[in-house]
Order: sequence, then C-alpha cells, then structure tokens
Amino acid sequence: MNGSAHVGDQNAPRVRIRSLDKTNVDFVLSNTSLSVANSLRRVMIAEVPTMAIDLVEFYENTTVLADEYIAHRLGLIPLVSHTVDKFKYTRDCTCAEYCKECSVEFTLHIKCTESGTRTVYSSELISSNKDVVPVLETEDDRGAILVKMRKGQELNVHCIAKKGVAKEHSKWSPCAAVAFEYDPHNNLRHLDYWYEKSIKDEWPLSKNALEEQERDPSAPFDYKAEPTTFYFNVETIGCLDPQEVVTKATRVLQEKLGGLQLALDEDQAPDAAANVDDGEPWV
Amino acid sequence: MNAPERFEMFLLPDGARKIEITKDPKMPNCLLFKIQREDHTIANILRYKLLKHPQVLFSAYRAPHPLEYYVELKVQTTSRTTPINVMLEAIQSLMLEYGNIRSAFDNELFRLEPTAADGSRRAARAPSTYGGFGSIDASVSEFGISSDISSTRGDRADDVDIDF
Repeated sequence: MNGSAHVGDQNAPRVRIRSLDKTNVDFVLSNTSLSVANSLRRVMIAEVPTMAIDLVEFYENTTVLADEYIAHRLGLIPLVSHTVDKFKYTRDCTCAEYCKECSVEFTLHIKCTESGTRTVYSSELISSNKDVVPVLETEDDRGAILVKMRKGQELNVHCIAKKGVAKEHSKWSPCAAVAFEYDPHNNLRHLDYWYEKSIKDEWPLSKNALEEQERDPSAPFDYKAEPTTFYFNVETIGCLDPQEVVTKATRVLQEKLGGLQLALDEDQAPDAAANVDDGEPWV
Repeated sequence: MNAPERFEMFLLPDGARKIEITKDPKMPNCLLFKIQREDHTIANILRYKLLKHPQVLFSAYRAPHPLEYYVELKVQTTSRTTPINVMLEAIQSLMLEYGNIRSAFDNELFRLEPTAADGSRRAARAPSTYGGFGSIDASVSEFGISSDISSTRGDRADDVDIDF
C-alpha cells in the first residue's frame, strides 16, 4: 500500500502520557498529521457515546422551579457510563418506547416535611441499573444540587436515561474540555500574533514550549514544514475515565472509516465501474 | 423553529446511500464523492491522506452548508489507478493509523500502571477512588523510555479488526 505506515514502523504515531489522574489525561501525540490529531479531538468532544437522562415524566412538582427547568437540570447530570457499550441506541432497539436494553430508569420522590430548606441532590436519584448512577467524586459527595424545597413542596419524577452522542446534545459529551496545542513557538507561522511592541513580551509561551526548540530566527523560513507533534489534555466530567475517552475515540473513528469502506465496496459492484474512465493516458 | 432535528447530523435516512459517486465532466479520472452524514472529521483526514498518495493529482473537500449534513470530496488520480482505489487505500491506511495510536496509547497506560493496563472497563460505583489510577506523575519518565516502548510495539492484529 502506498504511503502507509506499518505497525512498529518508524513512521507510526507515538504517544507519551505526561500525567494521568481520574479526570485528566495529558499526552503528547507525535509522528502524525494535524488532520488526524484534530479528528481525534473532534471525536472525543462530540462522538464518544455516554448515558444521560433524556426523558422525564413529572408526577408531582410543587417546587419553585418549572418542570422544564428541572428536566433540563436532570439531563445535564453526568452518569457513570463505563457500561455504555452494552446499551443500544433507542432508535436501533426493537422496543416500542424504551426498555432495559436501551435505557436506564431513575426515580426521585422527595417531599419536604420539616421546616427549613430541603436540598435535593443528584445522588438521591434511584437507578434501575447499578452500573449507571450519577457521578460522585468521593464517598461523601452528594452530587449536584437539583432543587431546593421548603415545607410542603414535593417532587416526584421518573427519568429515562439513554445512550447518545454529543453531536445530538452536549449533555452526552464525556469531556469538560479538550486542550489541544501544536507548534508552541509558532515556528510554522500558523498564527499571526497581534502585538504592540514585542511579540515575545506580550505573548508568554505555554508549558509545551519546553518540549520544542525555537526556530533559528536567521535561518530561511521552511515553508514546507508541517506540524507533527500535538499536545492534548483531555478532561472528563467523570462519566468515563479519560484514557477510556481516548481509546473509544479511536474506535469511533475506525468505525466511521469502516462504514465508508463498506459503502465504497458496495459501489464497486458491476455498474459502478462505469464511473471510472477507461484508461486514457494521463500524465 | 424550523431547524432540522439534531439526529439528522449523523443518522442516515432510510434508503439513502452513504456515498454517491459522480464523474467530473471536465477532469479526466476524477470523481466527486458525496458522503452523507459526515463532516470535517472524516473529510479532512481523507483529503490529507489522499494528497500524500503519489498517484493523486487533486483532492479537496467542502461542506456546502452547515445545515446540510454531507461533505463533497473531489479526487483526481493518474490513469494508473482510480479514485475509488485510492479512496480505499486511504481509508485502510487511516484505520491502521488510529489502531496504531490506540496501541501506542495502551502501551503508555501499561507503562504507567501495569495492573490496570486494559484500564477502560471498571466497575461503576467505586466512589472513593473510582478506578485504579491514583494521581500519577509521568514527568519522572523521560523521552527516551517512552519512545523506546512505542517503537518496539508489537503487531497487534486485533487493532484493525472492527465489528460493524
């Protein structure tokens, strides 16, 4: 195959993880192209599936917040989604509306009976699936505040969480942020900085600048140079581990490419050959 | 109010073809691929990979309108091959590349925390630490080590196998 890298090749992409904790992975991707690195970034933000509450039925809501407002807040609660691959998308599922193959149910029924303020937290949602629960950072974390009540107010809701991707709604995004940088010294001149007196004084270098050499200012500009090293920091909201987001993103991309390959193979069928010129020499 | 449904962005309508191929009337050996329900993510990597191919004379894409969820990719090759063939080569080469990125990433995870190597699948609610990884400072490892590891990466045939 022309121009492709083989496994173990010098031209194969390299990865170096600089730090990893439960919400962040900071890594350097090198020996690859800007378009590949950018596609990875785009997919991590918008196309890695997770679980999120998508339908809310209200039986009782006498709190100060409107139904829609609470439904929206429920949708934004991060749910632990390590098992998301076991679920189907509802649209691909055989069930009529929703079932346990494609959704997880949550219930929340709280009535404030004491005087003073009753605060309702996301950890009070009762899940039908022990693997899909609201994200909690520590053992005594109570999660996000949903609503505050006073005596006599009541909230009784039934929620259905579904699998989805952030292209549809950002509540399904596994990432809070994906930092992405290349060429910290601006050697390639992809940036044209605005400045008053001096670029160097007015535009401080990022920490990634320590990884690369600045171009010799007296050397002629290399107009053919391309970026090859990319600095990522993937920060998740807790529904997936950061390293999981990266590996899943590469799989999503392969699946997308596979879909194209399949579509092209179908087109290769007899009549599609008519699409191709019959060998006039072209130099 | 009359905005298209959000799922229209990625859900191929019933009966629609993923890729429509038309011949360019003015350029020899040139095809226009209209790829439904894809965006810059796919079009840009294909365009770039095709430009690297020695038999490709022209390759460019456009996303004609933000509310029409398709991209158009034009590819012209020499007469030694066909645009469809180079597209297939580009797709395969990219699939391999993402597989390589994943195995390089997994090797790095293994270097940081051998026990949690295939780290992704972990029981859901383990709130105290939720996951094996404590905070790992990778700054102790220098360039040399990691590049060693990634260049001696083994052949992982499973990396390019995908189920559809």
